Amino acid sequence: MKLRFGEKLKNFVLVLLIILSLIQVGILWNYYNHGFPINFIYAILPFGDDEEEDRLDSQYAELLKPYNIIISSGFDEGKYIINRSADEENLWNGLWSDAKSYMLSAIESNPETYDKSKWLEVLNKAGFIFEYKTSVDSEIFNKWVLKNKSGYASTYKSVYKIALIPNDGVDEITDNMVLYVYDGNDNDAKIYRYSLKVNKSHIDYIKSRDEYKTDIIDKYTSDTSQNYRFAYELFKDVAYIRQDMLIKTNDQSTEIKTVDSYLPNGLVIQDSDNADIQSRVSNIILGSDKTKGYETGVSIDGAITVFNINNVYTIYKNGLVDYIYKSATQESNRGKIADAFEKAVSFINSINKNELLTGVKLYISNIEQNDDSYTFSFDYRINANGLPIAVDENGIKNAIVIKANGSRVLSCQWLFRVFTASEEENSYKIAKFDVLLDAIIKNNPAIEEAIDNPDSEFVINDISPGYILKNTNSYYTDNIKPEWIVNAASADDKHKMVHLKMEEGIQE
Amino acid sequence: MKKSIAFMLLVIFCFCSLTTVVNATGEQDLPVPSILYDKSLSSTSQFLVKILRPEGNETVIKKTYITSGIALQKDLIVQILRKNNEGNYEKIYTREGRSNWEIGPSGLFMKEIQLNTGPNRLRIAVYKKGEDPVPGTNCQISDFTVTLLSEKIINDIFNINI
Repeated sequence: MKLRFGEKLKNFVLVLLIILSLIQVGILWNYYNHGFPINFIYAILPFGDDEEEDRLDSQYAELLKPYNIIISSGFDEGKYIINRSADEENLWNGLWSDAKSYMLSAIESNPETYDKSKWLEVLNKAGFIFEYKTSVDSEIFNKWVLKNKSGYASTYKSVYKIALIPNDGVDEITDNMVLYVYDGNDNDAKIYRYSLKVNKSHIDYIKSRDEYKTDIIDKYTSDTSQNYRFAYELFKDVAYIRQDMLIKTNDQSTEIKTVDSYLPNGLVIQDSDNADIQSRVSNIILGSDKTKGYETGVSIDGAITVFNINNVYTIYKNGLVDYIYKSATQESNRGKIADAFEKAVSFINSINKNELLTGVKLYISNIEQNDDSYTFSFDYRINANGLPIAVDENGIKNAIVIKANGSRVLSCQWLFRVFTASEEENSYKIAKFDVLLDAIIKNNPAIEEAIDNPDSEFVINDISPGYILKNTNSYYTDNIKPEWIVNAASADDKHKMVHLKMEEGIQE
Repeated sequence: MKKSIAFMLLVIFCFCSLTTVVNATGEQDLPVPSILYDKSLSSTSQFLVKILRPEGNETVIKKTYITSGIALQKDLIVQILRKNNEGNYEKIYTREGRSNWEIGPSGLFMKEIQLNTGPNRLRIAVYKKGEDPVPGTNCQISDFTVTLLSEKIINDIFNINI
């Protein structure tokens, strides 16, 4: 049967439209996706990439570990900070696993509720204190730390500090463990007390509740030269000292490694206009299999830009990578914080970290809620000794700052540096608190004015050894020595970054 | 030869004579104004330093005790004394080997001392640097009793609890 001319024309137009639509889909494919269009199947079918899931789980677990675990033997007795070094890793992980299993039990229990002033009473008890640098929202904590699938919602709205108390007065009669959750750092913060059935410990030599005291607390706090106190035990109601910060009560010397810091090789930009260098940098940041559809260019300040229609990465010569999501529409819904956190962690994972993140671990240092998004800050800690790295670069105060909502990452600033700890260790003086504070103030006289002026609302939250990362314009900074890092807050935010070189030499 | 040896001995003698009490950190203890030893003095108000530990009279079970305080004014010297068995005040030394010290710019101090078993009648005297201390005017006197329980009593207490 012969087709009429009209039919032929229709068929031709139809084929042309199909070809054009395929071309259009192809163009969009390049911008948005780089795999087969079957990803949705993984979302609806009960199978997935177990290895990838495990990798992500361990990534969340690492980022959401507490900053410190403190062993306390009670009021006016010794306190000990567990090292993150290899020799105390088992104890650290065991206690953290124990705390997590009690937290999981707590979700289904009814707590007694107190206001935040109760916390100092809690610290009077012998036990274990788990501290974060920031309040971690319960949605994030319960989903990623506890992997809670019970369907129960926790009473606490966030987790800032946890205390696990093996012998808490009346609960000795019931043979229960007691867990306290301090749920935030604001004025409305609450303390929740849970009395819980004793779980099997993750530490193999702990067989009963009493053995926490005899085998851990007494053992680690008996060496008085290593001891700390909480500030309120000696400086009760001194307004400019955070009452639950740890302070050293005697001089001591300790061995600390120096570290070298350098720009990752893949991010060294000798010539921004060089196409090979642009290609190498974009491969490093995006991964070589994901650069398709991206173009490269050079900004007026000599940084390399890697971009497509929605995503712009700017890679500066000092290792700072600035990412911005450009959207045609303004999104005002920040979504759920757990979803936003998931997007932030996925973004961190999308970067080729093997080459860029060596010698350090990341920890969560701040979470803020904005009108249309959440801001998550992460910082580096040296693998070898767990000491933090404070960033003191113009306008940059954290290693990573990610702004995200429930749908996507909106922006990210990431200062990439590789760190290596030296083999040699130097001896440094860990001065007792009042002597150290006098030295810090002599070096920063403005602090004395802030202390004397109640309107300044100056408060020292913490003083601890760490490394300062500054002058990142040089490719290589060697022999970075530890310094005292003062974490302080004030009404004018003037004293946020104060540090003092640690004094070398053995002190007896 | 004899002259050289004599000269060396003279130098050593002079050096030893000039060396007073020097603590582990190399800082010298200051001479104690005699009025601070006066047994008839009683505690003044805490107008120069707020003593944070001890909080009044205390009973403790550990031999080491940390006393602490916060300055309410600048340029202050703190002197720590304890009554001996004869009822006279005498200097006692902190872990750093000092019986007195100047409060630094933080305004804080914390000093560890060794307690004797039984009552320790401590005097923490504070006076303005460079001035002759006059109690109640430019000198604060704070007397406390910190009682260290004997091991026997401590053992008895713990045995009763068990």
